[in-house]
Amino acid sequence: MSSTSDATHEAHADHAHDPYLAHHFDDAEQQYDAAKMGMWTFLVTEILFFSGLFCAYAVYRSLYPELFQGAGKYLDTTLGATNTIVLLFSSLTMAWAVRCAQLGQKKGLVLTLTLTLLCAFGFLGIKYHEYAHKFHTGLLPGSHYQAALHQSTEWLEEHGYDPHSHAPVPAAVEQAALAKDGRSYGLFFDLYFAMTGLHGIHVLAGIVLILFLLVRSLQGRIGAKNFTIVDNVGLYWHLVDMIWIFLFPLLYLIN
Amino acid sequence: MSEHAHAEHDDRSYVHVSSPQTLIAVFLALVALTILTVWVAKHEVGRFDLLVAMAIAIVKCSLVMGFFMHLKYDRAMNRLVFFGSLLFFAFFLGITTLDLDSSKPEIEDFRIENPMIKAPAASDSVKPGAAKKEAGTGDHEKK
Repeated sequence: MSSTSDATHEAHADHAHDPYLAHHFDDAEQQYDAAKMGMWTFLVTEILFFSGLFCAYAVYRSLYPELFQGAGKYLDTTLGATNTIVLLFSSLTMAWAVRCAQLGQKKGLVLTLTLTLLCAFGFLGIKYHEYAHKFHTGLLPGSHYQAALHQSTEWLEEHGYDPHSHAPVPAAVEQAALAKDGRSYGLFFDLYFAMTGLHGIHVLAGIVLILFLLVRSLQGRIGAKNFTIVDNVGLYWHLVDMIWIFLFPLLYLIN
Repeated sequence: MSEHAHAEHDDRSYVHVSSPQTLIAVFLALVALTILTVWVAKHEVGRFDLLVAMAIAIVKCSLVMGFFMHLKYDRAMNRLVFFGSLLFFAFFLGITTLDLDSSKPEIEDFRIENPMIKAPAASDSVKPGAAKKEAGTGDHEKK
């Protein structure tokens, strides 16, 4: 670094070598760039992973547009929009957490990570509520789909089935319910559960990662000099948000 | 001390720190776009529904990417890696669409032979999963 440094200084330079710099890197910048490029490469594999589902969606929607319109009505737009806002807010707090980590603000980091974590749980809570509702009303994938279970009580009684009896739905009633809609919506719920399910698994993974960051930041093991891990978890979390940004209009906003 | 400060400066110059104003502005824009996309879906805009919804989603994604993910300030290499994946997704979708168009007649025939509505089941009650699922189409349960 300088030709004028004395022995003490040299020893200092050798010893106080940045503890966060792995020695196969020239400097902190190279290490940071390598970590980020690795993360982006991983995110690309994630995008291609999800693209299979998006492609399947595009194929079936172009083949059966009426089916998507009919089935889309069974999704609750308000809950979907709420979940979108929850995830967007969690992205804001995550981006803020990266800022806090970069500036070495421990309190801010713990607070923003906690908020992100709460949003992630909130998202899954709402998702659980939606899934439970679908399970109870027969809005299930493929051949598990049961049209009779989401008809009105009056309609069911008219067809001689007491919805409070918990008895298996007679085939004729199920048949009449399907005929009323004109089709089974099982195909739509195949895609719905596959896409939101895979996304939900990513949210779960995000929760684990954010918890890990939270523990580390509470231990004071994250600071301005080693914030890269926060940055990279942030990138992952934003990707999860981005996937949802596309899932929301594709599933909940079918006109 | 001055050397230390210098080293500190060198250490940090490659890091982009977002300002609170930017982060909040981006978040508010994202919320506004979410409200817009719901509003558009509630009002008829004809055939362009899906296009409008996707355009809004792409704008939202660009905001998240550019600012929350710092891609606007990041190395060109990371941008290249990211947009590369979109290129391959476009190939995937494009070639699949071409293939789908060329097999439209066969698909039509299949749809006529396999109507959407279940034929009455032989048994008294519908057991979930009892009916066979048509492979590949998800267009279900003919007997």
